[in-house]
This record gives sequence, C-alpha cells and structure tokens, in this order.
Amino acid sequence: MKRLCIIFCLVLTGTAEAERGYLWNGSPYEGELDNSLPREIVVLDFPGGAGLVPKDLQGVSWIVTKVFREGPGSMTGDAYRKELFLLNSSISFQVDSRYARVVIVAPKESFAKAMALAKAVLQGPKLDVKTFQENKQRVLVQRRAMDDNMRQLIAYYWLRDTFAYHPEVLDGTGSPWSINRVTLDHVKEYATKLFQWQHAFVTFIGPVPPKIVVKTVNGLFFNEQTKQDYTPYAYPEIEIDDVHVKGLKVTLIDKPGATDNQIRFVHLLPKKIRRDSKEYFHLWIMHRILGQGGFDSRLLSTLRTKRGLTYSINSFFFSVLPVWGVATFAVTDQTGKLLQGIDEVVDAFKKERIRKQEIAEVKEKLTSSYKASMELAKDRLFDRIDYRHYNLNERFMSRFLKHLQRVKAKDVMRMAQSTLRRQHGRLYLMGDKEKLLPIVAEYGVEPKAVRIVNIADIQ
Amino acid sequence: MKRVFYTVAVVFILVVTMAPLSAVAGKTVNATLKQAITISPKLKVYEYHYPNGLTVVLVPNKKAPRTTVYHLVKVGSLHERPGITGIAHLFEHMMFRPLRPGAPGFDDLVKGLGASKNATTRFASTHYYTLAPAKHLQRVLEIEADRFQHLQVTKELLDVEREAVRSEYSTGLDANPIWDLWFTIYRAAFRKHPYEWMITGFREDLEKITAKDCNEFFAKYYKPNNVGLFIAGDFSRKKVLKWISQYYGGWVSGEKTELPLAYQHNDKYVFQQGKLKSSVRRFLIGYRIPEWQGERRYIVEVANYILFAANYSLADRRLLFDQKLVSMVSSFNFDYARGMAKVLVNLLPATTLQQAMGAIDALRQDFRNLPEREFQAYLRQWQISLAESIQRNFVLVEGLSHSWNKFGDIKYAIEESRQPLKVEKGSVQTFIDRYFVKSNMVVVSNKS
Repeated sequence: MKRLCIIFCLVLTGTAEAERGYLWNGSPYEGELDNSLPREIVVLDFPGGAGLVPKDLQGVSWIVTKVFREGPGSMTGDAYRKELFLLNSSISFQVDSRYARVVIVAPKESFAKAMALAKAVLQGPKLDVKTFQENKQRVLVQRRAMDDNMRQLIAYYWLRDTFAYHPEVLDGTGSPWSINRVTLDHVKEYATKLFQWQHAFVTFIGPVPPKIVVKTVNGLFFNEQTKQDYTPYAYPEIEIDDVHVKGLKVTLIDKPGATDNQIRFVHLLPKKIRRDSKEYFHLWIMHRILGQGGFDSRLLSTLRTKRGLTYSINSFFFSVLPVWGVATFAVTDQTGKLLQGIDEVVDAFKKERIRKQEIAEVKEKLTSSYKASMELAKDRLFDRIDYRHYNLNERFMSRFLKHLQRVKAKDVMRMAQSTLRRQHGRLYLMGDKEKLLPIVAEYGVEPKAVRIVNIADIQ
Repeated sequence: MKRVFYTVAVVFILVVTMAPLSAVAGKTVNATLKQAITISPKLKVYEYHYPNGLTVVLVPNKKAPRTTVYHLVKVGSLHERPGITGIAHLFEHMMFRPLRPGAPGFDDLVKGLGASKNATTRFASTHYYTLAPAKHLQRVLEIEADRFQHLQVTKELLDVEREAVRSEYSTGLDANPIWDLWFTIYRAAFRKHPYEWMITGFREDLEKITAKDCNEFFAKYYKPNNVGLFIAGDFSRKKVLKWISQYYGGWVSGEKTELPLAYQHNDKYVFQQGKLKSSVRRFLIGYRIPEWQGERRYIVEVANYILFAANYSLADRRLLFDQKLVSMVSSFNFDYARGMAKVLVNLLPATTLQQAMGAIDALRQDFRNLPEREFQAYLRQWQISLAESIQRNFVLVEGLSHSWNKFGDIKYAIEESRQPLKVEKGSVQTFIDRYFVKSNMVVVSNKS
C-alpha cells in the first residue's frame, strides 16, 4: 500500500527525479534526465514580462521577440536560421503577462551549439534600424489581422477594460495604436529589461544529463566570480477595491454590419482565489458544473443542447484575477434569449441544491483530466514553473488532488452564492450597435446606460 | 539486442484463433490478429479484425493517464450529394443526442464516468473520441456500441441541433474572414465534385436536411466494416476483446464506403474574392492535388511540408525572410486538406499580389536548388516532431487512425516516427513540377 502511495505521488508531482540547485548568479534551476525525449528542452524564465511595459508601449515586447528571431548581430538572419535548422534545433522567444521566456530545443549532439546561439542572441541582438522597421511592420500587420476575429478582439478588450490595463492583464499584444508608438530606442531598452537574470530561473528536461545542462548555462552566462544577486520577482497584484464598482455595466463594441454577436458576461468576485487555496477547488467545481466547455455543463446542455441558442458556450476563471465569466456568441435573433438564458442558468444554480452524486462525478472528471494534463514528465516539470511565477505553496500543490477530493456540495454552494453576482457584473457585447441596442433594452438595460466603443478606439 | 526491440517488428499472422468469445444472440465471435507492431519494449500496437468487418486497434499502456476510445467512421463530406451537403457534420452532432425519444443523451450517460468526449467531421471521415479512467472502459464501450448501432434521429431533436449549427455558420462564415477564404477556395477550385463544398455544407442545404435523411445516412454508412475502433490505455487485451465481441459482435456489416471518383484536373488558374472584408490584405493560395495512396503518399506530404508547413519552410525563407513580402505564411493541417495544398499569407503594405505570386512560383526552383543535406534535414525534422508528439497517448491514437484511414495501414504512423522517410528528392521534384504550378493554382482574397 505504501509503495502504491509513493508511485501515485510520483506520478502526480514528478519531483522525485528532478534535480534542483542554484546557478552561479544564485538563480534557481530544476531539471530532469528523460531519455524518452528526442531533444532537450531548456526554458529560461525571466519574470516581469509584459507587465514591465507601460500600456501605451504594449507591443514593444512582441517586436523584441521578432527582432530576436533574426539572430545575433554577428550573423546574418539567414545564416542563423539555417544553422538552427541544420542542428535540428529551435530557439523561441515569448513574452506574456508575468514573464519573458526563451525556450531552446535541441538534440543531445547539438545542445551546446544551440545554447551558444541563444546566448549570442540574448547578449547581442540585431538592434539596427532596418531590422526594427521590418519587424515592427510585421507585428502591425499581424495585430491588425486580429481585428478580423471578433472572438479574439472581444477577449483582448474585456480583460484590459475590466482591470484598467493593470500589468497583470497585459500580455504584450498591444493595439495598433501602441505598436505604432514604439521606437528603436524602446526596443533597445526592453530587449535588456525583459531578459534580466536578476530574477530568472531555469527549467530543463531531456536526454542531456542535468549536470551538463547546468554547466553549460553557467559557462555561457556567468563565471564563478558572478555576483549572487538573484532575488524573486515581486509581481504587482491587482487590488480588489480597484475593480469593484457596484452595478451592472454594459459595454457594446460596435461592428457595423455584423450578423454574429460575441458575448462576454463577467462576474466580479469579492476576492482573488489562488490556485493553492482550498477555495480554488470550490470555484473549480462550480465552474466545471456550470460551464467549463463540456457538453454536460449546465450552460451548454441548457442553452445549446436543449434550446439550440448557440453553437458554443463556456465559462472561464483565472486564479490571479477576481473573475468568473461566460463566453459565447449568437446570431442576432437569438442573442436576447441567450442573455436571458445565461441569467436563468446561473440563478438556478445558486438556488438549487447540488447533488452529492454530481459533485462526485465532477471530481472524477477533474481528476481524470488533471492526470491527463500531467501525462508526461515534462508536463509535470513545466507545471512547476507556474509555482514560481505565482508563488504557489509547493507542499499544498503536491496534494492537489487530495484537496479536490475534500470538497463538499455546501462548499460549492457557498462559493456560488458569494461570487455569482450579476449586480457586480460587466457585460461586453460585440456586434452591430443598431441591432444590439434594442436587444439590450429588452434585457433590461437602458440604451443610454450602455457604453458604446468603436473598434478603432480600442487600445 | 536493444536495436531489435526498437526495430519495427511487424508480425503478420494470418489467423490467430482465440478462445471463443461470447457475443449477442448466442453467436461466437473470433477476432483475428492482423499485425502487432512494437513501438518500444513496453509498448505494442495490435490490430484485430472482426468477422463483421470491424477493425480494432489496441494499445495497452500502463502509463496512460486515461483510456482513449476512438471511433473513426470512413464517411465524411465527400460522401454527400447536393441537397444534403453538411449532413455528415450535422449527423455527427446528432450522435450526442438521445438514442431514442425519452432516453438519456450520450453526454448524460458518460457524465458519471469522468469522461471527456468530442467529435470532428472531415472530408472522408468522422472521428469520435471518449477519454475516460481505465476502470470505466467496459461501460464506455457498452454505451458507444449502443449509439453506433441504434441511434434514431427525430425531427424535434434535429431542429434544435440545426439552430446550433446555424450559430456555427454565423460565427464562422458570416464573421470570420479566414473561414470565408476557406469556403470560397473550395467552391472556386472544384466544380461538380464533392470537394466543392466544405464540411459544414451549403447553408441552404442545412435547412433542408430531414430526420429521415439522417436516419438513412446512418443506416447506410455507420456499419462495422467502415469503422476503426482504436483503444489505448491501461487494460487487459483479453478482456477488451471480449467486451468488443459482446457489444459490437452483433453489429451487421453493410455497404462499404467508397470515395468519389478523383477530381478531373483541368489545370486552370482561378482567382476569386470572398464576401467578407479584412483588416489586412490576406490571400489563401491552393494547389489542386490528387489523392495518392500507400508508399507514394509520402511524396505529396513531403512536398507540402518542405514548401509550406515545416519550421523554416521554403515559403518562410523566401516570402517572410528573404524578400520580406509577408508578415506571415502558414500552412493548414494537411489531414484536413484533401484535394488541395493550401497556404495563407498576410501581405505587408508595400507588397503587390503579383510579387507574392511570383515568389510562390519561385519555390519550385528553390526546391530544385535545395542541397541534399537540407532535404534530409527536413525529413529528420518531420520524424523528430512526430516522435515527440506520439508520446502522448491520445496523439498516438490519432496518428494510428489517420494512417489506417488515409493510407490503409497503421504501420505508417509508427515507421514515420522511428526513422526519416525514405523519399527521393527527385520524386518530390517531379510532383512539385507537375502540381505546384501557376496553371493549377487557385487564389482567393478577402473582399477589398
């Protein structure tokens, strides 16, 4: 029995074979030998990310990653890309709300060369006018292309608008307006600022022995005299009082001529619920029953399967943002019914008792999907990257599924009653204003109380 | 010795008599092992055939976090006719509805099993999958077998589902310029052939399809000899074979699905505009290509991969990096792309369509000039990315099913991940010179 327990814990946490330590600058690392992987994966994480960039310069980090893709200043872009290609390796640069990240993927035999190329880019990118202008142009076209996709655009907007462009919700995408403001000097500034070793940490897995990986990273980026100045990054967090304004607020993003309407109905939670808190599991189960995309969720089974009002409806929540919401879309003549339907399903959920059987079924499903998400050793290892970015309690996280099992129906009901609050909601609609305003009026919101936003004004 | 383990060990056994297995109606059903393929010392794939024509592929895997039950039906939009286009897709939706009036739906039945499920319809196939904890495998098979044999579509349920699909049309066709391009290109490229319509069918047909049409479609195509059942997870083969025999053994075989006659290529350049406007100048460019089976299929896929789909493809090199004409070049999942290889480009403001077309036309010469070393590097890249992806239980099953359906044998999915493809550059060049030419090109743009 004890052996079984040990195996179970290993499967879930994947920590047994991970090797941990500190680089010469004091940055923590964690990695594993995994000979089943054809290539080594090394992830360099630089906390801060797009949250370091002001709202009116969002997009600079996107341009920086494009410039980095051109390789180091000492090589032509073509020579750099061809060398990586022939090494069967890749180096990618990403920036998101909490981090900038470099991912190096290389077979064992090319590992050292690929790592050296990554270092060359980080320490000497092409920061010339031509490279900057070309890549700014590419980013601008790609961003404009996003405006074609109503689903992407509403997702971009509601998050930023609800949380007033707080660093936590800035992922570097930017608007055409902010991208246009970026200059070469900004790119130079953020090419350095986003990739500071002072707060960085390293995670790796693959066929290269961990000692060799650590030696390679140390040898490339530091020396034994390097000052140990590592400090964990202090992420700026959203203050709950900043987002709570009483009353349902309705925003309509006008897209003249649209026949499809996108809907995001956001309920603001009275507090943030961390992934390493017991309440997270109450919220998670509530979310799963109500609308986590599954065909058996209440929103989908009622509004799609029974009433045919939409093709898709799902709910969402974030562990660092005080929000639970619904994402869906509908043709114009169904939009009003769909809005009413969402309220009906949510209200009914708050009033009805949840059966023990239903909770048990959801736990089984969540356990099953959680295990699937941790199928490979690399999944389990890379999940742990979030522990650092979100300052999660490792001991708590190692008992993740045990906490899930402890949830009772009354916990979920309590969560629903305290968090599903239409009166603290934000309703975002995207479609043709002329068609949508009468629908909103019928829904009970005076047209004059609706804030109208022009797509071109979205920042 | 280790190498022996890792070498593809394909064992053909003509007939393996198994212990008689009980089946419905007192029948005894024996499964025949067609082949066993070793992926690694602890992972083997077994392919069985049942007398009713059902193909069963089992991948016992103790490490799998949950069990994948994957049905592939060899029917898709290519089997439709004008008037009922979109029925394969609409019917796929109906498979999640109650089997008969008053009965619980598929979702309700698997709800308590910790299962996830979904389905997709493609040109020549429809895929259903249910992922559940291993302990519920028997029950999942029982429920699945029931819906595959006994579904009855009623007008009431069909009308509700029709509304949901209307919403799918609206959010895709009416609002998303990329969907618009996708729909337009098939209509522009193919005439009087089922490639002409996309998987969701023509909108006007959606309103016409009746419950009777659905039930006839089901009765005609959902037969065991058109189905591959793929199961991967932690289970005992013997037990699973017994359950399959029990639940699927009484399923009576029927008419075998046939793909329509190959499209008669007339090699005519076509340019057309879609109906939606776009914020950027975007083009979808397609080349009509024939279906190639067996070993020759590699040539088609390698050509598409090197020209458009690979990391650092020839299109990336020329259009994105060398000539700096586009902000993005992307290829579509080739599994969906029967009949046409397609590439989507977003032009930079100063680029003309003629420049982009000229650059794409020059890719043939780029391929001719590609050194053998780089050609081999592409093949190696293909192999490694496959080897990395099929480590996941579900992806392995998808790969096996794809290989079985499109190429007639599951072995290709394993071979491709084990060693670089054995393809001559000259064969690929011949193919590219024949089909990747301007006269065979179809170009669509969003409305200007």
